[in-house]
Amino acid sequence: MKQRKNMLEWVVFGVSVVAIAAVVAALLTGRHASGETPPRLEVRTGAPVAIAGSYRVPVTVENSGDRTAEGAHIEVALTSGEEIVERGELTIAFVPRGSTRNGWVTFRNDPRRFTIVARATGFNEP
Amino acid sequence: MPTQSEMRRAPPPIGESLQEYGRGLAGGLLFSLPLLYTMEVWWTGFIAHPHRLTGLLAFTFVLLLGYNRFAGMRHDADWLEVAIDSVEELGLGLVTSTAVLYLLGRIGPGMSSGEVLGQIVTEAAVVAIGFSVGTAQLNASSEDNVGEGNEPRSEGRSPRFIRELVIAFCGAVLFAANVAPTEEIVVIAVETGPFRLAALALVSLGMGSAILYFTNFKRADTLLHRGSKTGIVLGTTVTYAVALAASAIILWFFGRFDDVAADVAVRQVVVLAFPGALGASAGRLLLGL
Repeated sequence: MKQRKNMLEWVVFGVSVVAIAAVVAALLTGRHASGETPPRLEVRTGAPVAIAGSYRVPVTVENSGDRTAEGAHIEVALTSGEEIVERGELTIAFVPRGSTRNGWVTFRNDPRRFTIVARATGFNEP
Repeated sequence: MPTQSEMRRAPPPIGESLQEYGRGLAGGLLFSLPLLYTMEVWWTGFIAHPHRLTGLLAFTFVLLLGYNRFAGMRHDADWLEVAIDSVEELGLGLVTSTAVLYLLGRIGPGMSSGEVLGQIVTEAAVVAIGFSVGTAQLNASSEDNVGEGNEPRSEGRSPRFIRELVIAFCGAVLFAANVAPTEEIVVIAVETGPFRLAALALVSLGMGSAILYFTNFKRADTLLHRGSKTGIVLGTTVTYAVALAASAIILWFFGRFDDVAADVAVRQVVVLAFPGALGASAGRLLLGL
């Protein structure tokens, strides 16, 4: 003999159907659903903040590739013409596809007097 | 002549359904907490390709269908009801894992949808199976009908062998999944010599056999055909094979076979099949109702 469902059970069932359909649709049609391009890291720096004799520069790393980058090394340098005045670096454990990670580098020189050059020097593919 | 709808039982009171969901939630969290608190699982969520994640959802759904059909709490359920229950459990698994991952600070603003989604789906798979097990096994009143409900159901409706296979598989997945994502499996697989790994495989086999046939384990005599030596050898072998298969599938999902030499892959399967065999034997007796 079958058991009929009450209102609550139908509501839960409805919510479940919607949740599963939404997740599957997002997985299959999302921006990174079919691509296989390797991680592509873009590094941006923000306005320096002076704190207790040193300068902190916010760093934003965005991965626009289709795969996750692991152990990303980010190098930020203060340059004056061809000459590199000071280097800062940070390591980010994971930058998932399409995601952004934030960090800071610190300098002894005032970054506002130099050109800031930032790039990802290397990363693994997990 | 009564119509189809008149033959159906009246719907349960809301309170009863709430109790059922409460048990499901307890089961879902019981089985998935180790995974919700494991870094490698979060990482897998955003490393795994969306197609693999979709595959995981499908695989989980098939497991739920199997478990609900053969061990679920509604013994007289037909396939449609089993499918509806499975959809509910998968949906509740998604909702629960979203909530817990949020509370644990694993998902939040600033993350891409892919990252959030990946983590939710990976965790939801085990939560959903836990939901199913919890709903069926944590019911206080189910203890009463173990004896009467069990025998006719397994004899009358479905080949006993398939039923045992499905539940053994669910047990193996539930137990092996808890350690599968960790680095330790790879470390053990790579660092342990071949003789010890062979010994581990033999111990897994022996342990499965002992639990199923020689320890008077809970429910073992109602669930298994005992007696013949061939039966014991067959049951032991099949149980270990199920553990191996479940281990391989889980390892593949967690990306442990990607760019890995064949022998390392096999070693990992053997290492994981130890907890897998425990799940396929002891786990299956505990979950099998």
